[in-house]
Amino acid sequence: MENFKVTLDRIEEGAAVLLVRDDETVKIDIPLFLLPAGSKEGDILDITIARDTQETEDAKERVSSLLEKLKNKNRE
Amino acid sequence: MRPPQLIAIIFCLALVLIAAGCTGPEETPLETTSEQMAPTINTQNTVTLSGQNLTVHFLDVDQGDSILLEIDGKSMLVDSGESDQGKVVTAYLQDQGISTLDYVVATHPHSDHIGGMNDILNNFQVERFVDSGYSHTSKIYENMLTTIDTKNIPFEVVRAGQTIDFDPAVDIEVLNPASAYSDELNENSVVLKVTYGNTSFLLMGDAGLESEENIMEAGYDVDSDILKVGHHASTSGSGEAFISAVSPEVSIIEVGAGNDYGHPHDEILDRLQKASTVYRTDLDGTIIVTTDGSTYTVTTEKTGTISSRNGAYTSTDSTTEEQSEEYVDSSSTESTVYVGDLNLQDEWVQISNTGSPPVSLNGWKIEDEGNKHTYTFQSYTLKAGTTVTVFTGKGTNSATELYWQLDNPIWNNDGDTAYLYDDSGKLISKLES
Repeated sequence: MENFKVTLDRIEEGAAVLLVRDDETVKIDIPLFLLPAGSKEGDILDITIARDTQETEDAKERVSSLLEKLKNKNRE
Repeated sequence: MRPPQLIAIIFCLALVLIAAGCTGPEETPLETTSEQMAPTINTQNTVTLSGQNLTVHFLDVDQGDSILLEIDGKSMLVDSGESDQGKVVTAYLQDQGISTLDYVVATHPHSDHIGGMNDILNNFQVERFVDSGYSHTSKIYENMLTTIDTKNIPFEVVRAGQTIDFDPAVDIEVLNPASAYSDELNENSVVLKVTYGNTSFLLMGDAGLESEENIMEAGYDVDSDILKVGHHASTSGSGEAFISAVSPEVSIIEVGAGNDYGHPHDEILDRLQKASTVYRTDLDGTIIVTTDGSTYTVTTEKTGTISSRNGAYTSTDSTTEEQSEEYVDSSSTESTVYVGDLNLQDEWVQISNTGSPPVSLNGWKIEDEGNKHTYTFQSYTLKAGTTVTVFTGKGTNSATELYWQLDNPIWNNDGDTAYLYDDSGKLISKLES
């Protein structure tokens, strides 16, 4: 799990400009609607990114079985 | 040389003090103040006659602002671009032979305006620092304040109605932030009206409609020759009433090519183009305005475009030395047409016209490195302030898009140069990509 803090530096045309603390040389533009309601300029946000292994495995399984199904269909 | 100049400056200072003494400097509405200042403007002419130029550089710092003012060996920097532009601004100032900055102004604490400040504070002797006084939580702002504190740089918060004593011959009035701060950082931008003789500049920072309204309500004389457009010409500012009151002859937009925010906005660009000649750092590179107090000249990095008020321009050393290596001597034609962009991957080249007259491109040619391929324009007129995109491939020509109709790509993705020749075969512009 990755965890970092960003400064909501400004809002430009519906995009929130986030600066990754403390260095703040990395800039992330993200649609404002993806942020918690009420987020505003000057807010410091805590961002957590977790790998969802369950969701990944599920998606892999679904797609593989779909692929297999289509392959078999063509064989018939 | 030195003593008479000193005497002139002391003389001006004395008059400024006398003029200031006649009125209450703090509470006087500005219109009255500027009338009271009239005697000093007369004495400015004696300084102007000594041959001093005020040079204002609008630096190309991608998406962000940075403006350098120079007169009589003194310099003022307004904003410093994003963090990654601090080095660019530092190098530019060093190229101008600057080691001391008499003033540094942070219009407001957004990173595209103050990101490069630490580079500036660490590379130059800064005599005074001017801030909007409206704080921000970013580390960039905090680090800037820490550096100012550590280096004991005199720090000053300015509000509307104050003046900045940069040079005796130059009036700098602060028009914003208002006495009550807005909730938005942009609207608390330090807005400066810079007047040198008959030439005036209005530097808007990122101030928008709210500030424009406050400034007009307060009765400031906003009429200016050169406008640094607020907030990269987004729809947050440059309202119709304000632009009409400013009635600029030249509008300068500091904006990054292909920025993510749709700056400049079409509607605002259209409004500015109807009112003035528009220059943009994304198309023109760094833009330099030089004035002797009666006339001014505009020089741009990419084209060496030179225009002037009253047609009074004569070539001077100061303008020729500003021109970059990309400058192409177009002698007397004062070409306003140039190669604005070249996309090697997507195979297109853009030609722009920043002048006010439309230009017929009939017979003009585009060539690549080594003149391996040539595109010749048919009857096509590039309207004022517009850009045409010439695609290598096949397609149907329109008012803004032309097609070379070739089967294969021609621009070398490892690097290539687009050359633009006029109908007489003279090289007008080139762009290396």
